[in-house]
Amino acid sequence: MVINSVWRRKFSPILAFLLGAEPLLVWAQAVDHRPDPRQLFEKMRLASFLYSYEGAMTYEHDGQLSSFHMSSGETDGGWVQGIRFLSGPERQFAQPINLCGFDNVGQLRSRITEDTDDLALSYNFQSRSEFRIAGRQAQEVLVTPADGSRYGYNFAVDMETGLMLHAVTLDPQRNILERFQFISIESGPATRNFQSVQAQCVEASDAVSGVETGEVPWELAWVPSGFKRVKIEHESMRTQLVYSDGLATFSVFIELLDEVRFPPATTSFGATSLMLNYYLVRGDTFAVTVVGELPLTTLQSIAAQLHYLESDDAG
Amino acid sequence: MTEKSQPDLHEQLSALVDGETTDWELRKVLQQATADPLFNQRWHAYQRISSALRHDATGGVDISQAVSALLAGEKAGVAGWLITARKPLAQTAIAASVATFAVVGVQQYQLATLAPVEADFEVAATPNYGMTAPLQLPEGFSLPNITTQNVSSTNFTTPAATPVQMLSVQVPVFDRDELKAHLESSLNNHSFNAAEASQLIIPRARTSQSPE
Repeated sequence: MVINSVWRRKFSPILAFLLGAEPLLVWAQAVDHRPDPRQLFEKMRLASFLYSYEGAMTYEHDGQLSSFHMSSGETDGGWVQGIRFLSGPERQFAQPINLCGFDNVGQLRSRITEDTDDLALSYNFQSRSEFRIAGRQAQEVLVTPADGSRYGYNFAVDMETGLMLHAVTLDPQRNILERFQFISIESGPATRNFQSVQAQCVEASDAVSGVETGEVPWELAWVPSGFKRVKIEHESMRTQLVYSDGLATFSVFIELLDEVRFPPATTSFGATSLMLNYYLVRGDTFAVTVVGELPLTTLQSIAAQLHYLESDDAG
Repeated sequence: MTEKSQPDLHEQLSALVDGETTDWELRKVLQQATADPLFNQRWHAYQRISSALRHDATGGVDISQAVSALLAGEKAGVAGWLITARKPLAQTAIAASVATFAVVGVQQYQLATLAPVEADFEVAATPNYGMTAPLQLPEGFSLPNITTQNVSSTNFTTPAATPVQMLSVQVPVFDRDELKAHLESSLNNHSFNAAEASQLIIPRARTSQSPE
């Protein structure tokens, strides 16, 4: 009995280690088999350019629900995305997919990888559970911000095509701010005629998005890390600056006023925040509206760093 | 207590500390312990080791000094084996604890985020504008008496930059519909910008519910 006890005492740590390690090995294998979240994100981004699809989507925010018919496909006018409101007033919008500068899928894929590398400086990517959504098997990807200046996202990626089946925006406390979700979707084969893309670019060379279109007398001295200016529009009375980090976007609208007709205001709905303030520059009054999918405090920090650049023809 | 029986007592005492003895072993240890004048001293020593190891596994406490002191006070032999044999086990426990926390953490986080997704939509704690919620109108000074406040010029490198002054204004009488239209216009223009920047038309779903 004593021998048995000694044997048990001496070898029990080894047994305990082995028994304890088994669940760890199982867990580690499960982690290893989980898809790489960044690859999933890139797959999702690529699919939005390559696949044709149509389906019904819902948009929920602040207890409100809207529904839409979404589509993306090749038309006579090129590759076009469309959204048609199924609730509320009848409206619909169309938007071309702009892939000018890309000769093939490989170039597009490389660009998406570079963009994701940039995003990874401001966000953390995690693969989560698999689940079924819109009748399809999906993999969840959680994208959490590295700082408190922006929101997090939860995406459901169709495991077959990579199409985004839902997008949830989360505040820093991980409350859901808004959710886009397909309730049904039909997709076509992944086809993309890049020759027709180049033809469209020649025909509409001035419709390039994401490119600055001019110089303006306004500049932001601070924006959250990762945000880049993607658009400038300037007229005599009105300027708009658009910044994006690849997931969130904010716009700054600056308008010269003859008079102040309503007070400053702040508001938010879903993931969108808005603030309206007035600025005095060289005796002129400007209304500055900052709006974006960012916390209101971030918009206030951005607005506080608005600068006017002196020049002979500015203003 | 003979030298031959001493190792058995150490091992059984250790098992007792860890709560790993059977009733029969417990009775045997207690019988032997009553005949050993060093029982209380060793009992407390093993309790300290066990406690230190448990703290290390959960709280990251440095037990090296305590273990060294105990080692110095012990004769080489079984006690030394006991400590060196238990340290890897403690490290395994630490690893297991971390792994457990990781798994539990993931599961809890899934509950925190997925449960609301699967359930009814969770209303954000932010004030609504939507098309129905009231506006937040900060207080200020009445027009035309305008005061100014310098709000910028830090971290700005362009020498030609002019400090921008934010006006603090109050407009006691204004057309709320006009303000609403202005804000909706900004929201709609931004939804267009966001769709353009992302190359996804989905942001247009945030467009105002009012007819354009």
